[in-house]
Amino acid sequence: MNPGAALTLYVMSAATVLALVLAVVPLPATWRRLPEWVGFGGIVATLAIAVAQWGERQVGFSGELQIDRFSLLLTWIILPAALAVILFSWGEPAAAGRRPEFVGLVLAAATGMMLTVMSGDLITLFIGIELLSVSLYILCAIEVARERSLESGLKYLITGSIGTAILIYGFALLYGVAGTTSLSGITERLATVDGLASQPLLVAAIVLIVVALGFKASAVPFHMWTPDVYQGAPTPVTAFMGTGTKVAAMGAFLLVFTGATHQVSGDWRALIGALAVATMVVGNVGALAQQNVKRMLAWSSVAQAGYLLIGVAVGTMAGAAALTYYLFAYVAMTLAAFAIVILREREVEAGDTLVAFTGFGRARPWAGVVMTLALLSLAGFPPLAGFVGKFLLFGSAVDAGMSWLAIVGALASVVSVVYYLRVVIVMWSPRPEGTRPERRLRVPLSVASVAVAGAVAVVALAIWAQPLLDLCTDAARALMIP
Amino acid sequence: MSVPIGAYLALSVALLVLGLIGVMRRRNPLMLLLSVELMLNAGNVALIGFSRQWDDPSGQVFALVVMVVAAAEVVIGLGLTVSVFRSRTNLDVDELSSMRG
Repeated sequence: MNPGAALTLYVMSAATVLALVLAVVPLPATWRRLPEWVGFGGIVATLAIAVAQWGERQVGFSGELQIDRFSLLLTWIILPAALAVILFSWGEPAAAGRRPEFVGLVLAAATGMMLTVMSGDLITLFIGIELLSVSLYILCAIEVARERSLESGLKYLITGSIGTAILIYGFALLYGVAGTTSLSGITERLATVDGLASQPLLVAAIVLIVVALGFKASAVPFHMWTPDVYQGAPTPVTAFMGTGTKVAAMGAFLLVFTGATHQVSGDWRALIGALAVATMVVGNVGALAQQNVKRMLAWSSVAQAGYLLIGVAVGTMAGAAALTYYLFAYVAMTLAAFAIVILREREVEAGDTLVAFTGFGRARPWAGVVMTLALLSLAGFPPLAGFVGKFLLFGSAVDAGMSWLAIVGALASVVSVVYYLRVVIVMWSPRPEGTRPERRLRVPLSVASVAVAGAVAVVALAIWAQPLLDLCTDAARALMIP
Repeated sequence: MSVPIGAYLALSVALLVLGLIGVMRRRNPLMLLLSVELMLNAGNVALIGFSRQWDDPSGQVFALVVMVVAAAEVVIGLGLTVSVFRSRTNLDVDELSSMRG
């Protein structure tokens, strides 16, 4: 027992509780930024600990938690995403009055995401997924006066809890097969007992877990909720759902499949591969017709989940490493894109529609450049990080003898160029003659810094792809050790 | 006298199917939440059955955790339903459609 192993979780939980206490304590007006600073400080401190902990596996709570290179690397993605959400909502008028709750729930959700990727046991994995889901249900509906926010929260809650119920049943059946809830115990059991593969109970467990995690990762055909929930939720929350939840869901996929049940990968490789193909095709086609940038990004996040699932479907260490690299790239480019949408939303009414972006790039060239870089990277243009990530993912599929995944992925990427480039073209085209000059707000430093950091990361992750890929390979190796 | 594992599984599958039918057929958010509860409890029954079969306590611990989480989910579900109810009188999820596409 190593009490220091879970230090990151202790610090995050303490910051969560502190932020929530501030919700009931009356604060003097001069301290009104205190909740944000608590969130900021908590996340930065946790990130520092997570960087310092990098090394061999440490086990906490007799195997319930596994802090190793895999979970720490994913924590390095989750925490900056949470920090970006705090910065997005810094001083945002819409969240005024319930700032402490907002910060507390973001911290709680981030803690859940970390717990998910650090779990060494089905019970911990379940608690992590639920902590993040339940916090996000409330965050979606936090603007209670706005009907769309409530609608988004209720829809997410209902679909999310159906996913939860299916997840529990899948975990119960897996427990029935293995006789233990520990992930390493399941690996041992599957390795020692012959003839477990293709057992009906095990196959049913795998199908149910794939369906349930598909709900959480918004994979087709369990994606129906994604566009409505993403569009209705406050945009900073949407950005968090699009990045943090995706990282946690993919982490759970990797832990359960590539990690714990890799001996029976014959039972699940084709299933997850089919899910990846459906997700890539439907996500990209669905995004084509969207006239609302937020909704387009929701469909694009469905499509991106498809590319990410390739890294799970191949079931190899190279696949897990490529997936981890792509998560870094995906989070950077998505946060940059959402930062620009948030800027536009604050400036004009209905700022998330495509029309509202006409001429935005000419009015604010730096924002135009950030959005262009983010969208080109999402579409997979070389030499940006999104291209490197897709290249690695498709390469791992070819190496694993699943070239059909790479072919569908490449074709889907070609389709995606249409809707990503459309936003870029609209941004850089002149505003129509005779339109009134619109009011210009001073750009909030907090949002601008996330936008610029995301755009810089999209380029930097491509330049230093090799060192990062080495880290990702270390992470994948840690994942495969039982 | 011990109950065979098949009986646990039969009960839990029946509960799961009932819950799934409810989720698909009912449109009232309260009934949806109730159906989800049925599905969660189906999982609990299976967990406890397997826990007896393997003579291992972690399945029972898991079931307890599921109950706590289910309670948290229902609290939030009811809270949201009440908030929606305040803004409109007719409770039907098919009418929650100000966003489309």
